[in-house]
Amino acid sequence: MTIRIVTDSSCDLPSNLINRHGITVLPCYVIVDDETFKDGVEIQADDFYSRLQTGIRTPTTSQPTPSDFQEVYSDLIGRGDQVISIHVSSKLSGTLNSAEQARNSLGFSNELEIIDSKLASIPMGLAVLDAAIMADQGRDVHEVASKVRQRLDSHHGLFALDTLEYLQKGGRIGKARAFMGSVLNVKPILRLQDGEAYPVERPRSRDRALKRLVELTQQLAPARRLAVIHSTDKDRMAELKESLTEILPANQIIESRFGSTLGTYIGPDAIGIAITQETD
Amino acid sequence: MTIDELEGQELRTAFLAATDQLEEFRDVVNALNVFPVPDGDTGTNMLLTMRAAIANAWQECPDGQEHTVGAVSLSLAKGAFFGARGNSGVILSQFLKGFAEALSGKKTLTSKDLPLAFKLASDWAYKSVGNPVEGTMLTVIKSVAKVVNCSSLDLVELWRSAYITAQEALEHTPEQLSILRESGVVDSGGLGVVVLIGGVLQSISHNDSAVVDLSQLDRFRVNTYGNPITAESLNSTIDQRWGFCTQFVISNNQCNPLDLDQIRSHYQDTALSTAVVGDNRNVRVHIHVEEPTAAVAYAESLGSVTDLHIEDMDSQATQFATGDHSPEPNGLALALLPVAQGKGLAQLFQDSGCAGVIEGGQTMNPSVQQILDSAVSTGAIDVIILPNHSNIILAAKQAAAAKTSIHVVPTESIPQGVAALLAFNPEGSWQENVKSMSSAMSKVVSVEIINASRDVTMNGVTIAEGQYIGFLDGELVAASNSPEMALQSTLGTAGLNADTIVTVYCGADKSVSDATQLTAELEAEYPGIQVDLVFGGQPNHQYLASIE
Repeated sequence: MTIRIVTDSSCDLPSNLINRHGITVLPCYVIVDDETFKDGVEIQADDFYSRLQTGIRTPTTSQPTPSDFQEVYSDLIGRGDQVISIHVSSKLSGTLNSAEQARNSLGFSNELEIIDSKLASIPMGLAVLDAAIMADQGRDVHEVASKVRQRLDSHHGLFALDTLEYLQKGGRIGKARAFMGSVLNVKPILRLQDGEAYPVERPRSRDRALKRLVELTQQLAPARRLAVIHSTDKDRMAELKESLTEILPANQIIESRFGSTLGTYIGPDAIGIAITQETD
Repeated sequence: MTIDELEGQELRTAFLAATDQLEEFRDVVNALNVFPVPDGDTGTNMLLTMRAAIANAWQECPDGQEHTVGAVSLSLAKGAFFGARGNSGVILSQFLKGFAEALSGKKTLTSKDLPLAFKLASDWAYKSVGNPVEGTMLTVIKSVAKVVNCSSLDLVELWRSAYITAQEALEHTPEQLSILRESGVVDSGGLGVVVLIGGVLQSISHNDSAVVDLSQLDRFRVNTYGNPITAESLNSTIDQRWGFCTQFVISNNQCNPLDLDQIRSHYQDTALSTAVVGDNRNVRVHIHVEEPTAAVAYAESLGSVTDLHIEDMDSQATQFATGDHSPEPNGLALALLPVAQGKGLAQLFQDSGCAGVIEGGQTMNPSVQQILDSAVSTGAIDVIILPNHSNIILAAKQAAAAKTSIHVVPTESIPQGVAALLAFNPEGSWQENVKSMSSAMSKVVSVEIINASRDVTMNGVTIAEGQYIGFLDGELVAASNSPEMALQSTLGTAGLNADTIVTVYCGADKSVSDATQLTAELEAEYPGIQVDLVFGGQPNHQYLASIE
């Protein structure tokens, strides 16, 4: 029996890795000016970011539906596979709720494991990648799932945003926590912790934000895997990657982009890193 | 007119009409959305779910043919299921699923079918979420399920009673969910359900305004504070609290009569539940206000303030709910309370999450009592004071000695205060914060430009009265006839390099053109530096600046 990995498009994994590991990605929905798009399928990042800045209404997102999950689960399990379904933190999205509903109505319990990654974006992508590699070698879906859960703590994410405006508008950060940025020209650095986004520092310029991002990443080294990500500033991501080559060689650092789902909250001109710490 | 039964096409039309009504209310439902995540999309999600339901109903049960209510309701449920958006959409789709299950195989909908249809709709809706929370659209849906079989009522009358019950349930949602109560709103998804039920009723009663008048629902467009609910109000309502019931008497100074109308209009603009009475010698003020410190400071600028009572209505509400009558601070664990003078600086600190601002600075040092009162009025468990001036540190420390919940990060200037503010973590302990803020404040260099009040020679610099003098971390380093030149010379002695950030806080008498010209000159003189301009509006310093 093969163990298949299912995730959602908020994992921001580049397509070559998705294809190589046979990962099934359920698209989240992005609603831009009342039109609903499947993230990464019906709308691509370039188009999304230009509409984010020009659209009338602030875009919103919606989790894959229970029926989307039902279709994928029954297809994979119907073929005799087992499934580990890893998704965006339940504190940030209702995706896990849809997955659980699909499981309840289908009645699968033995062949399916659903995991709350407590992460989002490429840090979750690294957890998914980790799971896919373990699944290739594993035999028992519950055993692999339990290892994936044990290792969730080793994945970390740090993001330097241009503004907290989108995160706050989208309700993904509390007002108290998003308290700074408008009057002073602050470029907040966020960290994922316990399934939520926390500001860790408030540097006063982009250059300083990048520098601090590198320093904070170095504190998390040594790394088993490392990824860099951007929304609309590829050059700055390249600069970030170059600064991280002391941790891992450049050809081992994954390059990625915030898709429309993450872009709704992270906004333009954001960069970030994901690291899987060397644990053993 | 008695309506005993509804055919499939009529049911389909009724749900279309309901969807149109939801469209009307979409923005207000969005704006009400504070639970579970305040992301302002409940209206859009419910609307898109209904549109998917309608589209599928038209596809599976096309025009020009007769359809049973069983088929129509099933097609609606299927469409909604596949088009469900967000949790509210999923719940709505399950509602329709239950509704359809009850009507399965039925040709028409009669008043006898309705109780079961609403009952199953509610059962399915509850099952759709892992952890049902009351005070949400689920509660409104459940209330409708209480509509019982009553043979004396026809279909429209029965539906009308469901509509009325749903509105009552909606009105009670703030009592069940504290976030709604705090935000002064009813549940967003609940309103969506009421609008849909009302829309169906309007259609099946053939727009009989005696049966249903949807304009009555406009009352939900206004929050309990009397303000219209808009997309913009979402952010401000999230953290809106009941605030403080603040009462005091202002008595005039010997020669300045009080202007009752002006005082009244000031508090009407800045507070709620305003009652201002009196004459030109004594004025009694009663207000509900988020920031009692500012309200009292205004009063103190007019005369002396006596009989001051500040009560935290949030902790009253908490006590009422829990039956606990011991005094208890409100939810805020840690408050930051800076001392500052000037509109722009007060705004900067307040917008950055400070619990309030104690007015004070160079020429106006707040008393220990004022600091104590302001700290208490935040209602927080612990309070960190930023004195922001060397002359105020002592008073702040005395306040801290008098009350163990008060702590001081001894900032000597506004630039140090801002640096400390940037390191503040509202979720950390006061110990962690005092440590990290003290360390952050020492990393900036402060620049102050003031007008010399007399001839003097200091540090070898000879200064004539009226000249502008520049201090670098408290040391006099420059003097000039223009404040801009004094600032430039002072910055010049600090040794700026390409990755320096200079933040300039302009004083009250500075214009936009003075400041932008200055920024351009600085950037030309020191290539690569970043100059951020803030209109501080402080009264005594022409310029304050920080160098990082």
